[in-house]
Amino acid sequence: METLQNLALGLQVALSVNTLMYCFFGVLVGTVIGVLPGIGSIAAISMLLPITYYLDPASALIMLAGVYYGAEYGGSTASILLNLPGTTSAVVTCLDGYPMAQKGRAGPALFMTTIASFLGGTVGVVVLVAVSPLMAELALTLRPPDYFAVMVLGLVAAATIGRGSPLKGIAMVVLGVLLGCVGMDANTGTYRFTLGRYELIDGINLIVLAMGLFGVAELIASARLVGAGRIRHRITLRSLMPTREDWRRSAGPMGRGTAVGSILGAVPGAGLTIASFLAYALEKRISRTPQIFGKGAIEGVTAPESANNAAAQTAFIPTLTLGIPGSPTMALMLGALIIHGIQPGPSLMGQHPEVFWGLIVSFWIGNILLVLLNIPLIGVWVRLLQIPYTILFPVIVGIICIGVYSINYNPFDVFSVLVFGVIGYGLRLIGFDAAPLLMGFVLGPIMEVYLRRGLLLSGGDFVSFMTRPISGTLFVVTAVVIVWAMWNHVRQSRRAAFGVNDSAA
Amino acid sequence: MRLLTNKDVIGGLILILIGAAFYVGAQGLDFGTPRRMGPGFLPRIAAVLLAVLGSVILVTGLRRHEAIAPADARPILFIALGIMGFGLVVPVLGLMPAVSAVVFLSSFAAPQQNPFTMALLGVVTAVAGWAVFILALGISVPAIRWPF
Repeated sequence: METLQNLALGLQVALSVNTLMYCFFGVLVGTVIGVLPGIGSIAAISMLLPITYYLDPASALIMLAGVYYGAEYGGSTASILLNLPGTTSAVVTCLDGYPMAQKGRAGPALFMTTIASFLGGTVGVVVLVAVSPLMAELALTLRPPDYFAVMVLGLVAAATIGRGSPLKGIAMVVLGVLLGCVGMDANTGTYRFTLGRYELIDGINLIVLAMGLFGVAELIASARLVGAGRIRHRITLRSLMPTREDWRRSAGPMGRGTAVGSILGAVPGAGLTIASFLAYALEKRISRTPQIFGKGAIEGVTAPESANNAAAQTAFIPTLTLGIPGSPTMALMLGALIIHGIQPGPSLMGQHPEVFWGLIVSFWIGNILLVLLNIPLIGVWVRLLQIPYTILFPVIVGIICIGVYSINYNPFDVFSVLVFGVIGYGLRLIGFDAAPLLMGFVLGPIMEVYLRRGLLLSGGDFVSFMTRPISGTLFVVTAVVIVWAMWNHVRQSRRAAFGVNDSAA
Repeated sequence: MRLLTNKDVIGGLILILIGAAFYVGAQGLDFGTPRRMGPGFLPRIAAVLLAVLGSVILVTGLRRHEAIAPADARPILFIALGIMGFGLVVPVLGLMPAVSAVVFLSSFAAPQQNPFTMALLGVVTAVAGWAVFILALGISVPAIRWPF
């Protein structure tokens, strides 16, 4: 009953003309950046963040979230047509999507990915509605040491799972925490690392950092991309229609993909890319015809697309109920909430029900809008892919400049974005991933608060953090994650080394 | 010399230096006690941790050589010029000239761009930027200023 009331409140917020407009704008931008290879949703969300200063918190969040899950819809388009993933989680979609296009079946592939995405997204929203209140209730029993432990686990998991060297990931988190210390200490009012610049008293601006590390760095790395390839297929509405066989073969994979995605989305550090990879692997393993995977199997397209869209929704569970983001994009969403003066966490649902439920209902409305955007308008997106990148990237640099300047009307921010851009590019060259840095930056100051409170309660005794049942268990899990990730990394790099030796011999 | 092109050696070294810099920068901050953490508590611990992680990365790097990816100077140069151009022009001449400058300059990050097309692109983007950001979103930056 209560859920129904909440959903009614959410509907009221999400269906107001204003909010609907921002939701539409968000998913539209999301689709565009998802379709275009080279710009990720982190860069796009940070580009839109300055605009949200002018909006109420609910509209702001609804728009930014729309960019995020909208990109997952658009991401598959370039994978299928050009073998170039538009988003990282769409890498898997290339495996069978592109072969389908080569066989002249691009239309059904595009159509079925939209359906798969919608199914995944819808179920993800339902899971979000069902699980969030339970999580929030559970979260109320957590004490400061437990929060500290959950954050450490979240950061470690995000830094170590699936991205190269776990040590480098953790180092980036720590660097992010240090950068998060810059500015006035909230507790004592002391200035930390401000280098005598008044611009740094409020800390390094999240938007500047994110746009530099992800936007500018990405543009430097991709400026030489010589446009996208030629698209030979004419995509008409009629050519989109899947056969009955396509539907039959996709039903199971979409269901299983959705389940995999719903679970993994909520796990900190796992995220969309891992969800789509696992869903693909699962289908291949249980298929009676595993040999057709990689050669244009529709199952290989629909399962991962359901998974990443389901995960895109359930990723909001820890972010909204615990205030702990599981991925850098979620860290950015958390930052957006904080910018608007809303403290994410278990009290969000009670204190700002209109934001919480409005956001959740808007997800589902956004998913419907995305189906409308993606199926009838697919021709527009295909044409968008044909704009040469050499025209596109200077315009993006321009938009970044305007966005950053409009935060404070201070050229200092513009120069800072360049500095972080060059740093971000340098990090790529030496094989460091900037994503954990962003998470450390957002979570660092929050962690410091919980650490201080926890230590105050325990009289300065950190050992008691280890002996409390919840935080103790979480620290054990964190240790297991670190050991497992290190072991896995060593094994993989050793295998790679042996592989080289084998081929040499 | 092989050490200077080793990804992990350089990466580790940079982390150690950053850690050291933050540690030195935190010297003036009160460490406090665990019971009452001062403003220098977390930064100092994090700085030490960063340097330790950097050392481990450096040492593992010594055992196996993985070369640094070569930096591409052209896009860095032109994108930097473009962004700096924007930052210098916008407070003096206003938004539209600044946008034209950044779009025009940064476009040469890609080789073989046609200067006329790119100048045109700069102007078009400036007009579009004015329409979206000043007209529609109402950010308070003058479109064009004449300071003289």
